[in-house]
Amino acid sequence: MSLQATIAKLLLKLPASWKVKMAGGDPVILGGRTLDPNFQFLAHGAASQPPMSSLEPEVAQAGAIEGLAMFAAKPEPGVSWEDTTIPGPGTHHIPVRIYRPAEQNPMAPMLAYWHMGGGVILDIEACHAFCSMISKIAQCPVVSVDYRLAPQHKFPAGLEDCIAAYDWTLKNAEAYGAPAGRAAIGGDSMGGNFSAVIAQEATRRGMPKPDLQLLLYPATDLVTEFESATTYGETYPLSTDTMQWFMQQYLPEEFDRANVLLSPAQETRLEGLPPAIIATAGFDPLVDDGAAYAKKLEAAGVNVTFKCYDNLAHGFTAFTAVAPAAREACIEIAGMVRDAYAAL
Amino acid sequence: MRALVCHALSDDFSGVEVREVPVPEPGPGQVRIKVRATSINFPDLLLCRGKYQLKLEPPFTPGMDIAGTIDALGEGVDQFDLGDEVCGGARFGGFAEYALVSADGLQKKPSSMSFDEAASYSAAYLTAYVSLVRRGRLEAGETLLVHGASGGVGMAAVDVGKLLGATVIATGGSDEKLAKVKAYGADHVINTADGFRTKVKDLTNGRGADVIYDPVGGDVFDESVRCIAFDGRLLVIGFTSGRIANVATNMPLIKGFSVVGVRAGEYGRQFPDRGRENVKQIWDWARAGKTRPYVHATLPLEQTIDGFRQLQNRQVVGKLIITP
Repeated sequence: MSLQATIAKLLLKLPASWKVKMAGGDPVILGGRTLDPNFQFLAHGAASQPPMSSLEPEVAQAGAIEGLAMFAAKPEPGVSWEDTTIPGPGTHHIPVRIYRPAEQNPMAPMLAYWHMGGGVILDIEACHAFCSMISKIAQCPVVSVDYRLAPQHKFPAGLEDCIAAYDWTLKNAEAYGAPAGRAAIGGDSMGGNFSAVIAQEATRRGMPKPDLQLLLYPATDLVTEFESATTYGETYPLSTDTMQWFMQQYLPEEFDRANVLLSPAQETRLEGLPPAIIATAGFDPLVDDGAAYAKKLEAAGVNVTFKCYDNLAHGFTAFTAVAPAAREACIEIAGMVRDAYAAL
Repeated sequence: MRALVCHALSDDFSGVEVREVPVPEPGPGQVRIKVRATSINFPDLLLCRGKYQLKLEPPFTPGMDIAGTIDALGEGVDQFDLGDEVCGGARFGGFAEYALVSADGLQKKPSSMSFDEAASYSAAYLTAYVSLVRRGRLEAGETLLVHGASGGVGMAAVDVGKLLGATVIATGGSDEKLAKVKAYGADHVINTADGFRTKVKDLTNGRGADVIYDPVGGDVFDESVRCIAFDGRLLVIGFTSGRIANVATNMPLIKGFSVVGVRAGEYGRQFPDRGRENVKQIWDWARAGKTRPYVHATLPLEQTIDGFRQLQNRQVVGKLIITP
């Protein structure tokens, strides 16, 4: 661990009132929500950094991986993992990390998981701790997918990797001790977008539907202008400016943002979609997006478990070492997966 | 270049083979496409037998649903550039390394579709659209019965029917293939081995189906007359069964239904404005990610005749692709 990271972690052990003092003096209250003091402290420190949209994509990509590494917890004991590759579209091979819990429930479907990062930044390290938590608590194997990123690989390359990984999971779940021919899917942020898209796209491609879609602070509607994009437009770690920059990198020219492969909330056929767990973060331009999609799915008769973590910020699954409330939320979410599996 | 050439009309495709022919030069309004994928449609088979509405004098190259990149521009073509990824419909010429296509009939390939998918789209979805929207006037909440559902035009009708908000009942002769139709979105599937009339009635509270999409004909048409709703529309798409059915005209009168013939391509030639609207609508759907054709498999050009036979013998679910 770098000296910088060590100092950051030591500072985060200070009492909450000290952190608030060091980060401006007053608690941050926006839209009736109060930001977790640890996130306030981190946001204060990050405020002096240049916005991601001012960086070259390669610089942003390298910086994001390094920047996030200091906040993630260690993986859970009792879960092992291996890094390998699986066949992707065409000749591409997709790097993946496969987690297996020491105590596995043979009835629990294998989960394919896609990490956050706007389709532009980060890799499977971003969700390493969280995937181990799901694997342990939901007692299932998890395959975490290192899909291709933009701008080097624009839409739909990353999505197609994730669809190929879903297909692989259906075909290989049995080899990992999970029910054959079935799979659950999940992801956070852009990964939540992929999950919502693939839950629909499975039917458009005539593939089996996933058993469960886990959508964490997802982007599901790039057309509608939600109030939260303004209220929480300047929050850390995701600002509306950064989101727009992600989309510039991710999408081909003249792309219609109402395309349901980008904005699954624009799909009119929502009946019959798999059960959904949707969790949002209060301090997030996307908080209204996830809530709106939860309502749409419920209106279409889909079984939805919804929770907003009001005091947390976007990306909280990667902050479990530095924000105890983020860790508690992740444990609770993994428990929702376990409960959803029990109800299958 | 290599091209599939029909040099003599024949029932068993003995008059069709891959030959070396000159690369064609585009005329005014045409572009030359370096073909990446061409899908097989039932009319391709009929064309080689001399049994399609369109009669071509051999030698000719069949293949009407093409996707590839633009390789040369004919005079007066300014809406495309060399290298553009395009797809769309011609009436023939697609089973070759290069094909000439009228620029009017081309679309930019949607970025979310593969070449295989793009080549599977035009004919099947235009047929489904003209059938269900223009001729069948299918409305949300109505029940659509799709016969031969696992075929290329059948799968497209299932997809478009669901998109239009209908309840879709799909029929076919194989449980294995029907499982794929169900996964593709059909609300109900019926294996026609024991007939379908009673099951359709059961699924519609005795009313019958509002719109019936029938590319099969023969016995399937006859039984459809027995399970169509009052004010229903029985769409005649084709006769893959090989028998053209007859209906006594007292039946449409007593049961209050219509028998409606569908010619998707001819519709656009008769009504050019509506034809353009049809084409625009199906590609708008594709570009919005809402529709995706079902691709069964991909074969090399040399196996096109095998592909024709697979289609003939109903071994294909959705579309079969030829790559040169």
